[in-house]
Amino acid sequence: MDLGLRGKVAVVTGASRGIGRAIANALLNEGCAVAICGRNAERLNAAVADLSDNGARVIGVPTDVTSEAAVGKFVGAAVEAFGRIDILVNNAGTHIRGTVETTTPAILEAQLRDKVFGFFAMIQAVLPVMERQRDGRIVNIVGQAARHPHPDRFPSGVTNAAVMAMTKSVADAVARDNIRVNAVCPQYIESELLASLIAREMRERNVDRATASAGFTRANPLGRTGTPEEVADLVSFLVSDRSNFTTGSSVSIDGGYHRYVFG
Amino acid sequence: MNLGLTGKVALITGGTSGIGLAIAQRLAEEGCRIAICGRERGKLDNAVATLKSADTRGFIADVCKPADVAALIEDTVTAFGRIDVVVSNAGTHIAGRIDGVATETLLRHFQTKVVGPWELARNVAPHMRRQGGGRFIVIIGQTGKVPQANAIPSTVVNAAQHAFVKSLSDEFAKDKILVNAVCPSRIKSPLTDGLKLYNEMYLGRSLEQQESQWGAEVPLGRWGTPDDIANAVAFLASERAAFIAGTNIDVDGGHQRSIF
Repeated sequence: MDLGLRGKVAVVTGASRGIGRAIANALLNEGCAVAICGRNAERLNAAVADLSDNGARVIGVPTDVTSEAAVGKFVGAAVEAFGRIDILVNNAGTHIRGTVETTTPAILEAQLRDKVFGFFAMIQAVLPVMERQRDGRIVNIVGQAARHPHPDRFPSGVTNAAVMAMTKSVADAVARDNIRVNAVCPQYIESELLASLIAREMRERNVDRATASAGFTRANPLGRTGTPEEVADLVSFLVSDRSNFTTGSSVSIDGGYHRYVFG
Repeated sequence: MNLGLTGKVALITGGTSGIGLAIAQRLAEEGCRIAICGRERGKLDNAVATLKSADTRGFIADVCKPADVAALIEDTVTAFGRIDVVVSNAGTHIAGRIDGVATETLLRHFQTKVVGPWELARNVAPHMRRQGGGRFIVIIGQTGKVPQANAIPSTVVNAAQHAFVKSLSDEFAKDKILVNAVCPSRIKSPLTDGLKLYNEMYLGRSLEQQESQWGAEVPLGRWGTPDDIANAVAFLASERAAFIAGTNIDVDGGHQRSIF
C-alpha cells in the first residue's frame, strides 16, 4: 500500500528509543524526513546516527518537552532543516504507576507536565505551520491506562485520560484546516518500559522473570506482547494519505486487552 | 508499506456495490484472491466483471440464511483452497422511529447484520484455525456508537455488532484469528444516496441540502469515499496489524463524539 508519505516531514518526540524510535524509523522507511527529540543528548545522538544509515534525512535536537522554549527551538530547527512539518507524533512521556495514596503531588505534576503540557506545547508549536500548509497529521501516543485506570496506575490513568480529551478537542478545532488528530493506544509493548515493569514485579513479588513476564502476556487475549514496530505501523497508517477521513479517533493496539465494546 | 497480502484469499459479503466493492478492489490491488457474494446474479456478475483482479469469484448467497452462509464459506474454500480474510460488510442502514418500523423489518436487519456475521464466523473458524490464523473484519455503521432518534433499527443492531466483535475477538484471539471493526459514517455510496432520498421524502430537505448539511455537520466538513473504508480494512487485514484485536477504527470525518 502506497501511504503517500514520500517527501513529508515528520516530528517525533521521545524518539531516542522504544516506541518513538520505531516510529521514526518506520516514517523514514516510508520516505519522510524526520526530526526527533529526547531529553538525553547522548542517547539522542546515538539514535540519530543509527537512523541516518543509508543517507536518511534525520535530525535530532535534545529537548525537554516540558520547556516551552525548548519546544519552540526544536520545532524551529525542524522547519529550518526541512522547510515544513506535515506530521507530529507526540510520544514523549513514560508510564508512572502508583496509587492515590503513594502518588505525591510532585509525581502527578511531573506526569501531567510531560504528557498533558508537553503534548499541548508541541501541538501549539506545529499548528501554525500546518495551518499555513492546510494539511497536517497529529498522532498522540496514549497508553491504555486512559481506558483502564487501575488503582495502581493513578498518575498515568488521570494523565492519559486528559490527553484523550485533548485529542478529541483539538481534532474538532482544527479539522477545517485539514489537520487530522488521532490517538494510538498501546499496551503490553516490548520496550525498556515494559522490561522495567517486569523487573519491578520480580522484585516486589519475589518471582522469577518467566513468572513476572507471563503476567503481562497472559493479560491480553492474543497472549503475547506487541513490538514497537507494530505500533509504528499503525501510526504510519494513521498519518498517511490512506487515512484521510479519520480524525478525533483513538485506535487500540493491545492484543485485545481493553474491555470497551465501543473503543 | 508492504501489507503482506499477496496470495491471501479474502471473502467480502455485500461486495457487489459501494463500500464492499471498493474493499474487494483494494484487497485485489494488494494481491488478494477475491470472493464476493450477492443475492442477485446480474448484479454479482457485473461486480465480478468490474473488479480489476487477477482472480475473483462471485457466489450467490443471502447472508440472512445460515445454509447460504455455510455454502458460501465452503464454495470459497473449494475454489481457492484456503480463506484468510473475511470482511462482513453486507447490510444496509435502516432509518425510522420505533412505531414506524415493522417487527419483520427489524428482525431481517438483525439477521443480516448480526446473525449473518455470526454464521460467517462459525463456518470460517475451522478453516482459519487449521491454517494457523486469519482476519475477520466487520463494517459497523457509526449509528452503533452514535444513536439517533430516527434510526432506531440501525442503532440497536449496530450496537449488537460491536458487542459481537469484542466477544468474538476474545474467543478467537488464542487461535490468531484477529477480529476487528471499521466504522464508517458520511461515506458517499449507494447506501447514503438512498438515505438522502429518504430524508428528502420524510424531512422535506432537497438532496443538495441533505448532502451539504451532512458534510457540514462533521468536523472535517466533507464526505468520505468507499476507498477510505477500503484502506482501513486493507490495513487491518494486513500483517502490519498483527497486534490489533477486538478494536475498531472510525472512518467518519470525526463524527462520533466519544473521547475513548
